[in-house]
Amino acid sequence: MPPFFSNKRLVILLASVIILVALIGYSMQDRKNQSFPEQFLQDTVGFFQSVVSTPTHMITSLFGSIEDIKEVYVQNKKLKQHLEDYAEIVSEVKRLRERNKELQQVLNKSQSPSLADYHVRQARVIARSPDHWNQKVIINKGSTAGIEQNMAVIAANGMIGKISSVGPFTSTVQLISSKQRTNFIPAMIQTDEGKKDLYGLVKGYNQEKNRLRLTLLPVDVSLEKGQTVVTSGLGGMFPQGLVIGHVTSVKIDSEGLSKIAFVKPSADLYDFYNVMVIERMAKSVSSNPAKKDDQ
Amino acid sequence: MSRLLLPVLTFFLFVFEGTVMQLFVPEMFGEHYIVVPRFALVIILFIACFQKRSTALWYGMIFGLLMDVVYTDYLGVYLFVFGFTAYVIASIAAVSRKNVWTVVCLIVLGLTMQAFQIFGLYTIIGIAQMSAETFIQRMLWPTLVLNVIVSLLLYYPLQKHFRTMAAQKAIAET
Repeated sequence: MPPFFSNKRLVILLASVIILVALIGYSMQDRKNQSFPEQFLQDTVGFFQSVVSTPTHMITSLFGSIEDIKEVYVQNKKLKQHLEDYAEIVSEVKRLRERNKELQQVLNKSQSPSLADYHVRQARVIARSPDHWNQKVIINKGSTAGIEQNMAVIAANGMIGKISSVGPFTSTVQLISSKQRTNFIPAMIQTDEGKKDLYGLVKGYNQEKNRLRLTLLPVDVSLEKGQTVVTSGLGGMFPQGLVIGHVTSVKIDSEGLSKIAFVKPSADLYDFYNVMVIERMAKSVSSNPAKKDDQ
Repeated sequence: MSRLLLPVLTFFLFVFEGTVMQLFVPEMFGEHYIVVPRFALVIILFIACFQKRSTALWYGMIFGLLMDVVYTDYLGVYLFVFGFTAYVIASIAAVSRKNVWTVVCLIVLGLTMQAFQIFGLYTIIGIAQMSAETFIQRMLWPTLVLNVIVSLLLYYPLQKHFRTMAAQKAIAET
């Protein structure tokens, strides 16, 4: 019988625990970029992941579309009703756009991109972290396609996360439901006309209720259920106006100094395949000094 | 050819966990239960049961490192946990008899050990914010059920493979 833990092995075990702690400490630093071996591994595995995931998605979407056909009739009826409103809205948007342009020209502001301007890149999801703890998704575009760290990522219905690491051909998205310390989004609550918008920070996620926490709101404001929460564009990473979710409930935080709103994410954080990576056009203060000089 | 089968199979299952399974997992089990496919670890535990302890340790460490780099932010967690689990299970397997029930029991033991270690380490780091009770009820049981079913399906083909490999080795030595 081989000894379970001899003295030598105990020493090796202790040494490996120390190495484990050192490695965790190393990776907990706020690293700008992954090291080369990591990028290489991630890209190599990413190749196989896209080879496996593409046909699977084709098959599942085939079944999905068969199911969709059943619902089409009902949807069609509803949509026809909406169509009448649509024409009206389109003309109004057009009118407002022109007016906006005129006003901006008057103010000489058209030169620099505003906070809300962004550039979109399409990408596909190729894999998702199988363990539940790491809320991460891998997409099939990397730095060769112009993707950079900290860009926002949205699905059809709203924001789902941000780019946390980039390899040449794949990159990793940290979902907004991730519990990492560094995971927060500057956000604001859109209010009715005439009132001031409220600014806060989306930070933390309640798994059981599927709610994000919007913190740092002043105590004396009144919030309503159903108000829309969007990115505020103030953190220097994301553009303004990406939809995050809707307020469902409000409470005062444990110190009694600010309010916390619970926000239901408008995007489904489990079921998405095509995503858009959003590059903000407005200059940001931090991160990329070299790029700023180019502009 | 047969030497390549195990690494390729483990790698394929490793990719399978993150791609194909992620499409089906939430739909199959609903929102309440969290099921984690650990098929690569199941193969590593099979290796721990049927092959040398050092082989299992290497497999555990290599696939743990892959897991760390590809799917997580923290290097070293899976590297340590998979390696340690494979080592302990291989040490126990060395002194036990090997039939389908003992092997499945060892796999259950290994999966449970691994789940608790990951839970513990991630709690220390701060990304696992779940009470131990919820973790056991919502995550551990469903995960064990899925992975035990898979290991039962894999037992006979893999056992056959390990036997032929042992036989080939014996022939080569004589």
